[in-house]
Amino acid sequence: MRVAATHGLSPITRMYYTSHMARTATNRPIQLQPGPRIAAQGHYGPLEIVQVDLATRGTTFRATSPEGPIGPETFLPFSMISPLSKEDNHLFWQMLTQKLIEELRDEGKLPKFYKTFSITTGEDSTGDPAIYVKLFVDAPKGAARDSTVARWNEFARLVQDRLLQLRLPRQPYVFLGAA
Amino acid sequence: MALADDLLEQAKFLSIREVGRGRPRQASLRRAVSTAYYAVFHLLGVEAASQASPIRPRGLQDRIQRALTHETMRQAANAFRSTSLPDYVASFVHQPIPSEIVDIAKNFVLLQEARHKADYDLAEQFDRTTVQGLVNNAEQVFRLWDRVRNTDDARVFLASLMFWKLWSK
Repeated sequence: MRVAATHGLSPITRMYYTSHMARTATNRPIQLQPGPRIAAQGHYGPLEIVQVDLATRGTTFRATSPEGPIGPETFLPFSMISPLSKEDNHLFWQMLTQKLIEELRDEGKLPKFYKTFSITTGEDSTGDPAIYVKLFVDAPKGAARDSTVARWNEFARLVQDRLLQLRLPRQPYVFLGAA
Repeated sequence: MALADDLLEQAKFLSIREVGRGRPRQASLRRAVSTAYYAVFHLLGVEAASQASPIRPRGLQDRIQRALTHETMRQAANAFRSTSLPDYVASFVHQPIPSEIVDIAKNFVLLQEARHKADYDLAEQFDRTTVQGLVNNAEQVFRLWDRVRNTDDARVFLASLMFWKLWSK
């Protein structure tokens, strides 16, 4: 179990860790969810992402220890980091997509019918690295009206466009799904 | 009615089949996705062949259309969808590339990927929402194509679908 020690961290980092903390019945933060572990060009030791930034297309990370994050925050573009394991890879893309959804919410572009998302990473049918995002929407039993499907797709296209604009090292594919 | 239109109609029919009879069958949903892709494939294929070949002798255009490959079309569409065209293609199209063409390319790539999963990936489970979305993507391609088909940019797009691999020579 890792003990959260957010004092001494930058406000952004603290916000990230706070959002990932569990709390006991006494409301005392006791645990934090570690960020994805990565290898980064020119950096050594155990590294952990604390934040992704879509505007600058990069990640903020820092060295980590069993007690939590240590050392200064460092920024590198997405292209210069690589998640260590399959789980870290999934966590990284999950984090990036979550950030995108949060930005859309802040911009007031998250429609009411949207419920949640899931991601899968792998290779697409051409062998290129891919990220599949499924946007779950509040769908009726049976078939939805054309106009409803068109609205869902408008949102799916918005998410895909944002992912394409990031020029990620994975081809993005965005599909709909029933919540 | 052209083959592409018939396929689109069938895709739509399959996507809403078995409504009110419990969960739709995976076979219906998978065929809907595959058919939606082929509707778009043939829509663009016929247009590309008619651009590249005279009407006579009869049957020549059909033969030319057979020269189209999914892989080459995907590569071309991918470049248009990410708006990263090589100079020798970019010099022929307006900048920025008209949004209709970019959207057609995006939908083509998405549908081809979905079709691959629908036809070969048994681990993938399709639900009606996913499939209705994809059929709607195909319908959008038809609508957008109607808008741009007589433009120079559309002609370059069609030529790219056919000759993408050869153009870099």
